[in-house]
Amino acid sequence: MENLKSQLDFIKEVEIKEIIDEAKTKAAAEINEARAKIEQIKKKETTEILKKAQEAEQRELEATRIEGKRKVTNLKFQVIESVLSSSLARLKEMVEKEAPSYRNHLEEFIIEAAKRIDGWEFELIIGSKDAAFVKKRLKRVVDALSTVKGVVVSLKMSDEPLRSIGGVVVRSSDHKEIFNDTLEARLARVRQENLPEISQVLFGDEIQ
Amino acid sequence: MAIEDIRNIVKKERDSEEEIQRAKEEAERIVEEAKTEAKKIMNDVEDQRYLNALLETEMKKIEEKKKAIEKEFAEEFANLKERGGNNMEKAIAYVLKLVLGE
Repeated sequence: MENLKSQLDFIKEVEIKEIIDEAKTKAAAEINEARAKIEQIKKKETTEILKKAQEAEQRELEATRIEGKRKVTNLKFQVIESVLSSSLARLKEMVEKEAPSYRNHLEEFIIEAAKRIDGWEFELIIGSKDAAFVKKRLKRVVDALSTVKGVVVSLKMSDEPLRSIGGVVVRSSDHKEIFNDTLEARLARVRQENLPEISQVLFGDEIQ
Repeated sequence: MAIEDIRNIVKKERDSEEEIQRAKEEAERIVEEAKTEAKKIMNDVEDQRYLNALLETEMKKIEEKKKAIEKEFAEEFANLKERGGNNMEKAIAYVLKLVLGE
């Protein structure tokens, strides 16, 4: 009888242990699953955040570089503009003072302009201050131009006023062709063609 | 086997069933507790705090890099301004030379 009782006790103990162990296993599985899930979510979100941060970095840094370059380029252009306007003021001063450093180039300006126009009959428009100076050298200019053109040329001085601080305008006698070699036009050509060199003189590098 | 013995065995059996029932209840409680704990883990604000902190750190890094680039350009800007000012006369002379065709 006692043996049967202790057998029943043993069976009961085993069954209770099984129930509790099974519950503990289930509980551990629940918690582990939650931990694994949250780790996975965390990992995914971390990757997303890092990816977004990387994209933001590229975007932000690129924008900062562009802005920096824009400021630097603007500065270069501002300084160059200042050089060009100062140059124009100096040229005006040279013309007003009838400086030889300017006047001695007038003959070359006329020849250079006439070379670009077809034909052999030309008209010259020149400022009133320079007109007397050029008139004295007109024969020399005509001879030089005839040599360049390979034909005897005619060069008349027009009464038309020159709308410029200095330099010359040469046109064909039929007014079909014209070449503007005024100081403003020459400066405009320098601006168009020589910005990199001017930048080099100013800053030691070219405009990018 | 005496009647009394049989009664005792039946009583013992009934007691066991009650104990098993209690064990089942205890098991249910353990599982429920684990489920609650699991929910708590899933909703843990600490994780969100970690992600926010990570984002903040990354943004700080970007800001620092931005500042470094801005500083670099500010230095370049200042150098160019100074160099441009120093070479202004040289550049005007160069432009005059080009305009006059020298």
